[in-house]
Parts: sequence; C-alpha cells; structure tokens
Amino acid sequence: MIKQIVEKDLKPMTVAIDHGTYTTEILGKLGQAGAFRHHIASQNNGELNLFGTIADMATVSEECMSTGFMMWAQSVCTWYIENSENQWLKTEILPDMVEGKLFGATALSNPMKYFAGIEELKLSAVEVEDGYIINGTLPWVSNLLENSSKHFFSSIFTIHNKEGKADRDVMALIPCDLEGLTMKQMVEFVGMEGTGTYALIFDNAFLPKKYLLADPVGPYLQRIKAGFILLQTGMAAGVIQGSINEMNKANLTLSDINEFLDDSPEELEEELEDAIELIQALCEEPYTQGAEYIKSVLEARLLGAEICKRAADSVMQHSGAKGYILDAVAHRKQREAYFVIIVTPSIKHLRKEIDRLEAA
Amino acid sequence: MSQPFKKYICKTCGLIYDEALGDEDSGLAPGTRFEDIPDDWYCPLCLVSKSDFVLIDETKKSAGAEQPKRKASTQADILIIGSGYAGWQAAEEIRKVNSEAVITLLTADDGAVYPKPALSMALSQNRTPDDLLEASAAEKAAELDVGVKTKTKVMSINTKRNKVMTTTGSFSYKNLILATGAKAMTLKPDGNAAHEIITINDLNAYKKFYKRLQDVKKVTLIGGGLIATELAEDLSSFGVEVEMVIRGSKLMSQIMPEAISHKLTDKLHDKNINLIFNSEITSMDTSETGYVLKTDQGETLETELVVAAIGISPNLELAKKAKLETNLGICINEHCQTSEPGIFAIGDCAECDGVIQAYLEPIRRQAKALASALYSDSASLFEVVPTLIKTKTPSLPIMLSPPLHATHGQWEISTNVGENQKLLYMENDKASGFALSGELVKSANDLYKEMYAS
Repeated sequence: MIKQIVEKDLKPMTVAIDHGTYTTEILGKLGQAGAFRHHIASQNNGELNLFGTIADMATVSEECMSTGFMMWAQSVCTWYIENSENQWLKTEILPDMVEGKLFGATALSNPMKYFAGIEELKLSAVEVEDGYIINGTLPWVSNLLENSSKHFFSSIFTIHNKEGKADRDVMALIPCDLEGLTMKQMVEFVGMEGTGTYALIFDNAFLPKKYLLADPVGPYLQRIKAGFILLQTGMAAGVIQGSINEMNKANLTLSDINEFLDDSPEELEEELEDAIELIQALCEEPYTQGAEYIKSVLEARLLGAEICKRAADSVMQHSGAKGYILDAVAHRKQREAYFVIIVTPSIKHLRKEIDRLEAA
Repeated sequence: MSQPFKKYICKTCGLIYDEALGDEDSGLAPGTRFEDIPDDWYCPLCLVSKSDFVLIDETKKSAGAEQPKRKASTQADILIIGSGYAGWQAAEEIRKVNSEAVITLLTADDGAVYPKPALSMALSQNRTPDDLLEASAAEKAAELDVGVKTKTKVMSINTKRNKVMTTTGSFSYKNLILATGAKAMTLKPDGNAAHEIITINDLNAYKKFYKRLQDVKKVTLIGGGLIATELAEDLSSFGVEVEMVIRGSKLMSQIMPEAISHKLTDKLHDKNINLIFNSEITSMDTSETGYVLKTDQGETLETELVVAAIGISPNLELAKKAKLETNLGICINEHCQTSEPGIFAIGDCAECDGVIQAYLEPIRRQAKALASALYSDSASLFEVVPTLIKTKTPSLPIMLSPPLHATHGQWEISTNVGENQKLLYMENDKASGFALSGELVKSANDLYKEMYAS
C-alpha cells in the first residue's frame, strides 16, 4: 500500500518537492494507508509498534526524504499527543492527525539543544487564567502552512512569573492560525525545500490551555525521548537504501571502475541491515527508563547518521559526472543524507549527549 | 578616541552583525553600535531576536585546538576493541615483539588507564577517582606508539571484509583483538526507582558512585560475592552505614569454604555491617530520604544508595553477531584465537577450556600468548590454571586458589586455629584448590607454587 503511493503519487512529484513544492496530498494518502498509526496504540487496537512507523517512513524516504521528514514530523507530533494526558487533544485532534487529515509538526530542535546545554530556550510565556501569552522566535520549523487551521506544531516555552523570573518549562500544541503568530520563509535551503519550513514569530500570541501537552515537562520528556529519536532513523534507513539503489544502478555501467571505491553498495547494505536489526530491537520497549537505554538509542541514531555520511559520499562517487548534473538523483540523495547528519540531534549533538551520559 | 568596531554573531544561524557595516536592509547605518540597535530588531536571516547575538571574541580558540592528537589509523594491522586492562595489555605485549605493526585501539569510553582492583579498596586508601588515573588514553598511546580512538563504540564486525563499523566511521584490520570485557549484571525489581541501582565495573561508573557517596549515610549492597564483600569493607571504612542483601546463605560461596566464610561474616558483623542472607530485593521505590526496598522475605529496608555487585557477564554481542563461536564467553584456543582465525579475544570476555578467568594474572599470560602467535614463534601458549586471589578484606586476611571446576570434590579442613584456617579442596584424594585465612596467608605463595609448579 505504502509502496503503491510512493510509485504512483510520490515519484512524479519528487523533484518538485525537492525544489520547494509543499503538498499535504501525499501525507493525506499515507495517513489513510496507516503510515502514522502503528506507533499510536490508542488508534491501533492497543498495539504499540514503533518500528512499523519507522519502516513506512523508510519506504517513503527511499524515494523522497523530504516527504520522509514530514512523515517524521507528523508521527512525532502524534506521539506527543498520545503520551500526554490531554483528553481533548486525544479525541479532537489525534484521530484526524493519525488519519492524515490534520498535519503535525515539532519545534523541539531548540528545546533539545536547550536541554543539552547548547542553546537558550527561545520562547517565553506568561501564564494567564485560561492560557499563555507567548513571545519569541523559533527558526525553521517544518511541515507547516501559513494561517492553516489544519496544521499544528508542538513546542516548549518557559513560563515567567510576575517578577519576570523563569518559573518552569511547559510544552503545548500550537495551531498555525494562532493570532499573534507570524510565519515567514526567510532563507532558501539547498535541499528539502518542499517541507513547509518557516520561521515563527510570536508577538503576544495567546494560546488557550486546552492545547497543553505537559506541565511540568520533565517526566514527560523522559517518556517521549526515545520514540522521538528512534522515529528519525526511518529517514536515515530510507535515504541510505535510496543511495544504495542508485549505486546499484550506476554499477550497471560503471561496476568495473566502481570496484575501486571504498564503500560498495553491498557493504552498505550489510551495515544497513545490521543497523535496522539494532533499531528494531530498541523499538520493542520505547518507554524503558535509565541512561543505558537512552545511550543505546542515541548510538543507534548516531550509527544511522554515520552510515548516511558514507552513503552520501559513495552515491556521488558511484554515479560520477552523471550525479553532478542538476537534479541528478545521486546529488539529491547526498543533500538529503546530509540533512540526517545535521538535523537535531546532529552527529556532534549526539556525541556530546552520549559523552554527557557517560560522565553524569 | 573611539572604540574599535565589534562583531556580533547570531547563535542560531551564524549571521554576523559587523558594527562597521551596519545592516542597511533593516535601517542600521554603517557604524551603528550593537547597543544602539533597537531591542525589537531581529536577525535578518533567521528572525531570532537581538538577545540571541553574542560578541565574537576573536582571541578565543576552539577547545580542542591545543592538544595534539595521535592519529588512529583506519587501516590497522592490529585493531583492538576495548581499553580495559586486557586491551592495553594486548597493545603492550604486541608492541614488545613488533615495533612496526600499525596498532589502532578503539574504545567506547575515554580509554583512561587505571588499576581496576583499586575500585573496591580506594576508599580505605583515601584515594579519589582522580587519584586512580595512571595515564590518559593519549599518554598511554604515545608510550606504546599506537593510535587510539576514544568515545567510539563498535557497532558491528564484518568478518568477510575485515572491517568494523563504529559510531565514528569504519576501521579495517588485518587482525582483530576483542577485549570487550564484561558488563556488571544488575537486577530489575519492581518499583519506580529500579533503574537507579548502581553497578561499578569501570572507572567512569566508580566516579559516579563516588560522587553519590558524598551525600549519603547509608549504602545497600546487593550480592555476597568477592566484590560485594570487598566493597562492604571499603564502604564501612569510609564511615557510611553498610547493609548487604545476599541471595544465598554464605559470603563468597562460589570460591570460598564455609568455615572461612563464617569467620568473615563474624568480622563484618563486628564492623556493624548488616548482613541479610537468603533475601532478594523485589521492589525499589523512591522515598523522601532515598529509597525503600522490599525483599522476598517481607522485609522493608530504608536506604540512600543501592549498589549491585552480583557478578559480571561477558560482552558477547559483537562476537555473536559476527558468528564467532561463543559459550559463556567468546571461545578461544591456547593462542587466544577465536573460531575466526584472524580474530583474537582476551580478558573478561574470553573463555578457554570452558573457563572465564576475570583476573589480571591470566590476562597478562593471554596477552603474551596472542602477541607470540601474531608476531613471534607462537611458542608462548595460554593455559588455564587456577588463579591465586588475595581478597581485600582487612578484617580478615584471606588468600584463595579456588578449583577451576568445583563440582565433584569438597573442602576439607587441614588447619583450624582461631581465625587461622587452612582448607584444601579435595577431589579424588587430590587437592585442586586451597583457602587460607589469618596468619596462614603468608604461606599462600609457596603453597600455590607447590601445587601448580608443573
């Protein structure tokens, strides 16, 4: 089913998406086919199958990782709601988001860097009786549409008390049509342009409390963290497989000379299989607490990024000059693979985090 | 005289605001000082606010720039995985017999060199974790002329291509040495704090333990083996209240005869160490002061720190994935060679003749054997012989040479004067192990030589 959507609907659009076309059409179809359901037990007959969602994301990312990235945003947003205690979100938003009728995003890059001691939190809020008044700016949040009532993203902001002192951090879902929220597309990216990526400016934006995901945020983040990171491996697995496919294609005519390259498609395939096996095992119990498990999850994600790095290099070299032509598949794979390397948590962020866990 | 113009950088996107140039697009003329920019100004590239900009200090160097790094070759003659005693010892012995070989050592931690036995006696010696550090990975690598790659976890071995995949890239080898060690076993009782049980099997874990120890008055040790007992004595000397929860009915029942075990139990009682035998922890929850433990005997224990010392389990995952022959450990022959001819194993992860000997002395002989097999005449062979153990139990000196297979024989008392005891492990009228306590430990070395001289 997912494969059919990829072949029939996605493939004709891949280049346009890479160039900047944002569409929810594919996400809608993927949602109907169940791509966002596996890991949401409440919408999946009580069964939590994190790896199922990762596998579908990989299938899509093999063709177009921009779409895979939006699937991640969507999947992780549903994961947030599923793990919250907000019944309203669970009944009014979650089922439609799982179905691909509503669209979800995550603005947790900045908070994740904040918790790892890399950045300051960029949003702050004042609590009022029935909501929060939010100020601040978030750069680069994806899978969004300006003024859309169907698009939501989750973020974390610091609540300041009357004296202006930081009190605590809370997490909430925020609709794109929130009053006081301005969305701007400021820069052009070398890849993944069609992912609906915006800078978000909050100017005294009032968010009703019904959108609250977690207050306090600490224990909740512990619960969702492994799932958040593991879900990203679907992008890695997909783009690596896509690169391998492209290398095999190049080898139809260039295998004699490509033998002299370092990372052959066969070798990357073997390593990808090992990595997927590892990820699948880690997906069994995504609520496992303790540093040991989280470290393994970070290592698995790091492994995915490391293989991406080699795949990105090798797919270009295998394709040769043909891969250097504008819009060549190899070049797109390279740009997509690099996204896995630098998106939060990036290789350097992962290494820092693993280091911190070792020393904690 | 005016101040020189400064530069400020956006922490989010890296855009630089240069006071000399200003930002004409947002109406800031050249020469506009950063402090004169209105507070509602935002980064022209990514829209974050003025407060997300920091002054560029051009005198500041990157943190790692000062230390020269030894390059670890990604194409090694000898690739060693693990930087415990076994890993470093292998590097050292190989370097002794071959000065040319390109040796790369990969380690998931920082590769620091420290005496592991000290972890269960450092407190009484007044040594902090930092005092235990003998050399950093870089120092040791320089000494042995090997390359070391720290914080690098090996994720898989590709035996067909003689390569390993790690979290920092891939490394190829001619010969691979697995010194992956063992992990401390732990237990998973019910309760919301079960994952906070501490284990100590390396210097990093010890550092964490030491840090926690500074704010507690009571520690509960789970286990009654050699390490648990040594830790109990060491903690007691540190002035904390110590309690041991022991599954069996005796201390060190695997390696020590009952007679000495009883005597040692009395000695620990004298030190106010509370020994709870025949008990297992069933749940662990947080409480206001620390933790509440429940045992299968219905007891409730209040404590502040819980340490499990219930044994170690060899790290076999890599070897198994690479389809090497494994049993309890990675199976090796007298050359320390695994079932894959180019791959060797050494230390706590390795099993020879059905025995794993997680002690320093056998590891030294293993390292010699593998160096000899790799670069010399293969004349030095590793042989499993019973080891001699001196327990770090100041309240009662004990030296043991437990039998390799304690199945069909029994301990027989040969001397018994107060706390001075000598027992022999007799199997078919032949002694295959001994245990000495008190004054008699002085005869241990002679007895050991006598028994295994051949």
